[in-house]
Amino acid sequence: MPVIVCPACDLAHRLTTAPASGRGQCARCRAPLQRRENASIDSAIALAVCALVLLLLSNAYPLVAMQVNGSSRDTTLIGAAVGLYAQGFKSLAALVFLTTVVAPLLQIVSPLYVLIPLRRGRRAFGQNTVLRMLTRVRPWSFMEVFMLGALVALVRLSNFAHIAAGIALWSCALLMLCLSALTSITSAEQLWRWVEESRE
Amino acid sequence: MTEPPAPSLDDLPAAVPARSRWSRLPLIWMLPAVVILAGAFVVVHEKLAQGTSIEILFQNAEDLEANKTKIRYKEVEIGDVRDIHVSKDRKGVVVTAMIHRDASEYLVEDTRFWVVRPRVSAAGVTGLGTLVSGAYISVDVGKSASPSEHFVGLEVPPIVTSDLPGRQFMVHADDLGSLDIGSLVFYRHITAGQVVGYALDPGGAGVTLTIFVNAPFDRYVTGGTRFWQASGIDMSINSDGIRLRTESLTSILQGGVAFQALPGSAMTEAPRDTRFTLYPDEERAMRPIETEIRTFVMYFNGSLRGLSPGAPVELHGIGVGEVKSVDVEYDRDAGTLRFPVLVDIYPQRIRGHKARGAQPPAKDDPETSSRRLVDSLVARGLRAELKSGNLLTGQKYVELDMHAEAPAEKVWWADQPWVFPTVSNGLDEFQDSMGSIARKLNKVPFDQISYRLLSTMTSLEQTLKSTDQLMRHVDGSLAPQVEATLTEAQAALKNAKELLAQDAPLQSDLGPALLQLSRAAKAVTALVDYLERHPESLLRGKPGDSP
Amino acid sequence: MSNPATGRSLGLLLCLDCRATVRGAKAAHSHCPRCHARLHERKPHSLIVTTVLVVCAALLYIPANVLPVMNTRTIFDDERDTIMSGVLVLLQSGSWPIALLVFVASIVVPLLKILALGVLLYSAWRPSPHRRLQRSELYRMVEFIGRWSMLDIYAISLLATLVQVQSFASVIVGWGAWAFAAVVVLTLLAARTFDERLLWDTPQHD
Repeated sequence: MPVIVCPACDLAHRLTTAPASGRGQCARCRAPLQRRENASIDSAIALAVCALVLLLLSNAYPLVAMQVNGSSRDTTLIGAAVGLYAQGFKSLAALVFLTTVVAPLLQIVSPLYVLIPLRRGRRAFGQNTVLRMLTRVRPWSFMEVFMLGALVALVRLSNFAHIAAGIALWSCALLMLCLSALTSITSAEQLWRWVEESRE
Repeated sequence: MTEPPAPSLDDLPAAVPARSRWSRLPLIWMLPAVVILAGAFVVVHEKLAQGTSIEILFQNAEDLEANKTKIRYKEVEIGDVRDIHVSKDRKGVVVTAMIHRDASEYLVEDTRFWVVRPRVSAAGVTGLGTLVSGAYISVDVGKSASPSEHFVGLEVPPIVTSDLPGRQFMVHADDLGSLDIGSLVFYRHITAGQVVGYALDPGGAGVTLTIFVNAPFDRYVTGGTRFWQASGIDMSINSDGIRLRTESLTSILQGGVAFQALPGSAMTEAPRDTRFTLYPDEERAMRPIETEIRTFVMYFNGSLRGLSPGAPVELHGIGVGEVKSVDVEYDRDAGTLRFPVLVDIYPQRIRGHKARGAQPPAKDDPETSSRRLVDSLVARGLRAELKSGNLLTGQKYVELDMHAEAPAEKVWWADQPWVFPTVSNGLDEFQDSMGSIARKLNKVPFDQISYRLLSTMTSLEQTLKSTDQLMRHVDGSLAPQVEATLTEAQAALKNAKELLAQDAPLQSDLGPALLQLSRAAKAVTALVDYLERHPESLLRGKPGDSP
Repeated sequence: MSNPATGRSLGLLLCLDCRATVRGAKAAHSHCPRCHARLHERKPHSLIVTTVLVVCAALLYIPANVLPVMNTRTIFDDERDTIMSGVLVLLQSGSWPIALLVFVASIVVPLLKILALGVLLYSAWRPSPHRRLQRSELYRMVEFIGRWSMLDIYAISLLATLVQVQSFASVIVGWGAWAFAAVVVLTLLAARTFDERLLWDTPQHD
């Protein structure tokens, strides 16, 4: 009899088919337990590709351009981290870089790395390691927090300078949406189910 | 008839699901396709809108910063500096800049770039705004039609930018004087342009200035325009006196050039880059060109000091010529030094003046007729004389005038150059006679005379004092001898007074008179002595004298 | 329920990496059959590590709010901003929603997290059967809102990079920002190392 254990309160549950909509909750602590997941690998790969393109755009072009006193400055996403580094805050720069560039990148590349071979029935080299890393990396991807932080910065800048949103700002917003869709579609259970399905 | 048995459903072939290639592609792939297309579109658009990359060579990268320094044309930002690195030959720095696409039409061959930073120059202080906003590179778009992406930057902002209307001219001068790049050009005391450059002539014989005259003043630069140095204060001291001229306060400080067209010259505009000569001052510049010049040489006695080249030759106060040079010549035959003064005469002026009441000109060529005119004038006493134009400055000039009493002379047409007869200056004679008088006066021994006079006066004084004493002793009667002696002495004194009062020839008369006087004084002195020793002789008389 | 069937009592282990429910082996260390990750009944040393992290975060909370996070230098003056003064600046410039957002995200949330974790740690230390559900929900909230405190760091990084206009204004990042980032990271780690199942564990177990 398939049994699942609640990750929040360790209560054992019987594995049933998940409700059509919404989630199955733990009986005791109401932690989310099950979800009907029937997405296709293709969808996941497609979303990941979208996200990758958007990520590249977000890093290649400036986020925001500022004009004050006849001089203008702009910066990219990586430039923001570099700015911190230039002022001597190396650990802060690393933090910003990791959470806004590296984590999203891994979040996108890892599913692609695993799922594309999987679609053809093959197993990627180091698949398990990659999947485990993905689960650990995901909580550190802060793209949506960054968006909000950028908004605060824009508001503060607009008080004394003329602000123009760069291309990267828009692509970052789209990336944010894309990433959240990707995350929900490539949950740990779903990924492993695909892995097991391909084994059959 | 029996029918064949109806086929059972099982016998029917099952529909084979069509394995269409397209149905395997779920709609989800639309999304990445769209995103990729949009991304590609964005990339392409950005690349197209990016603009042109150019390279500018500067001497150094002072005030320039990669990704920060902007490039502006008429204060509008048209690009920015992306990269700065030292050039391969280490002679400068190569500044790589990205120019906006809509400004790429400005990138032609003669477009100029320079760094705007605070600068102090002859034109003033510029670029102070960059202290706040940071230095930037300014552009002057050229007029060429061929595009370029490599430029050599200017180290100093150009004086005139290409869009300034006006024309450029070349002016040749002997030296730069107090002019410099940025010195002003004046037309009727209005600032009309600037000196934009200068270069030493090949061969080093002079300097050629490049002058830019702004519109609308460039219209007044014609073929007959003269340029002159209007630097500072033009003070000329010549036979006319002292003259002070200046263009403006600015020209006093930094020098300037002025120009004006000669009256009566053609009004056609001079084409650009026409060459002109820079005259030292306005007077010389505006002098009409004398088409006819006759050169004479004149020999003067006396000092030529104060006679400088350019001094006028005047006929009754009217300028008819100019001194060209003053030289020294050694006459071997006579063994003396001579001082030839080369003089340019403008016969046009003379002819003009003498036209009134003159006889109709003879029917020979102008050269002979003019010679004849000169000959007749010289025969009547026309001479050249050196005169002091200005006692204050000592400047001299040559005056042509009729001297009836002058010895007869002729113009030596055979000599080259023609010798013109001269007369001496009256002032010299006066100087000579004054000199001889002074010499005569020098010979009179005034000091000896005065010494003798002094000693005589001293002894007289003594005598009078003693006489006075004696008078006091004696009360009443006096020996007739004494009286007579006293009377004689009085008379002698009166004589001496008269003698001294008169302007008699001193040397011959005074000597004996003085001798006489001294004898008398001696006699009196002896008598007084005797009387003092023998006062009784007043009453008794001298022994040996009978009463 | 008198004795609810927990995974522990049933001998089932949950793999944290792949969420597989695995029958526990007797060996001290066992690996997940699906993903080969190491299996633990509960997160190792959860209480101690989490306590240390929370204490450090609490200690750093003071300098994070006292030290200036941002130094705005203009030709006229040198303005030092702490997180609070930054909020006030936003208020004064009229954008009060943003001011509120920053205030909540940068001042309220970290404090809340520290306090909540403290409460959770205490109840894990001294488990009580009451209000377990609320505590679980508290934990979930902590886990959810934790990341949003980072937004001020991102704002500062953008400001520090952009506002470098010489002779006009330049922004220098202060050590308060570093302390603040440390607080956020530590609380995030603390939430990760805290095993929420400890809240539900009854004291009687072996």
